[in-house]
Amino acid sequence: MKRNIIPTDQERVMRDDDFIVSKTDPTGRIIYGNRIFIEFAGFTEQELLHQQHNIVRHPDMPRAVFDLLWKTIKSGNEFLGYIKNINKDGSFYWVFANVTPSKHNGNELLGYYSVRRKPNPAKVREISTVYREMLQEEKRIGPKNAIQSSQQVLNKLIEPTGKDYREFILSF
Amino acid sequence: MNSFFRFNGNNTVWILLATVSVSTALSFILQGFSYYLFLPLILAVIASFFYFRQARLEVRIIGALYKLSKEIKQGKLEYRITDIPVQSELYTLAWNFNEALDQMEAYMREVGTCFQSAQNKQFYRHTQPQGLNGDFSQGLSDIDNSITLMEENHFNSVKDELFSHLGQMKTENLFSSLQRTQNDLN
Repeated sequence: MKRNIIPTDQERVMRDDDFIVSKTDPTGRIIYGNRIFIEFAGFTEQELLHQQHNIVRHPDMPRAVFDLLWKTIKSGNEFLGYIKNINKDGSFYWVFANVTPSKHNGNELLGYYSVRRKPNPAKVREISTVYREMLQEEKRIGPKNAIQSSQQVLNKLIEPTGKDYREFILSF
Repeated sequence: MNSFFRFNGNNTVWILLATVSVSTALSFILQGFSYYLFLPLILAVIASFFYFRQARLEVRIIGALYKLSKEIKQGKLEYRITDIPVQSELYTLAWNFNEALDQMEAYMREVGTCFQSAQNKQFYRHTQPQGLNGDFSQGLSDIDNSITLMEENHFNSVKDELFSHLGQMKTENLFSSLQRTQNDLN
């Protein structure tokens, strides 16, 4: 079920202690979302279950960020990052996401567990500038090399710090 | 799975329905056929329909709660109750259990990730208590203090290693200088 949601300028801001939780199967289909997730996504629980998690993906997000997310969690590591999500009514909300793989007995992949917290607004302003630049690069270069080229924009920021992505985003 | 609704509740309603049916039949025999004698039976059937409809919702949630508690007992924090009907009396109870498990699972994952990172000397990965409540949040703050201590210990041991290496270099240099001096004197 792919919905055509028209993005609006209306922002929803997470409350300080809000804790969005969702779980997906190994292919990224939603198998659980808590009440805060349901509230921010704007869909009912029944509408969200069994849908791809990209049902809340905002078109302002660069593809390269999700490519990095999938590569990180598929390799068994945690992903941390600032994500702009969309509500069913077109409004948007920023989160600081932490995605980790769920494994049975330490090896069989059951799915992924994602926790989203309220991000620091100053950091959101900074990262949205970076994402805008990445998105422009993705549009400029075309779909074939979009991800690679967009990741270079991000790498240009990370490399001078001598850190890896996770350390960079945590100290961002 | 056993439950009040499935056994005591359902059986009681069936017994009451049977009683009303028997009493309607008896009324026909004693008083002759009359439409108004159907009234109690019709009301009983309608009430039973609503009861069974509600009980089905509750029984499903009770079944899910049963599975959830069993999994927690086995140390599995993955399971959640989904598709929770708003009309269910157990709606809030089911969500409270889900969200308590969310807290517990997030706590466990944070602890795992932070210690794993500390083991890899990635001390920058601090715990993130934001969004966690009460003891979960406090627990993560305490663990963060331990990680800071681990970081200090790590740097102290690196420092000690460097100092001992430096000391060894000094001794070696002193020894070779003494040897040179001795050679010169000879």
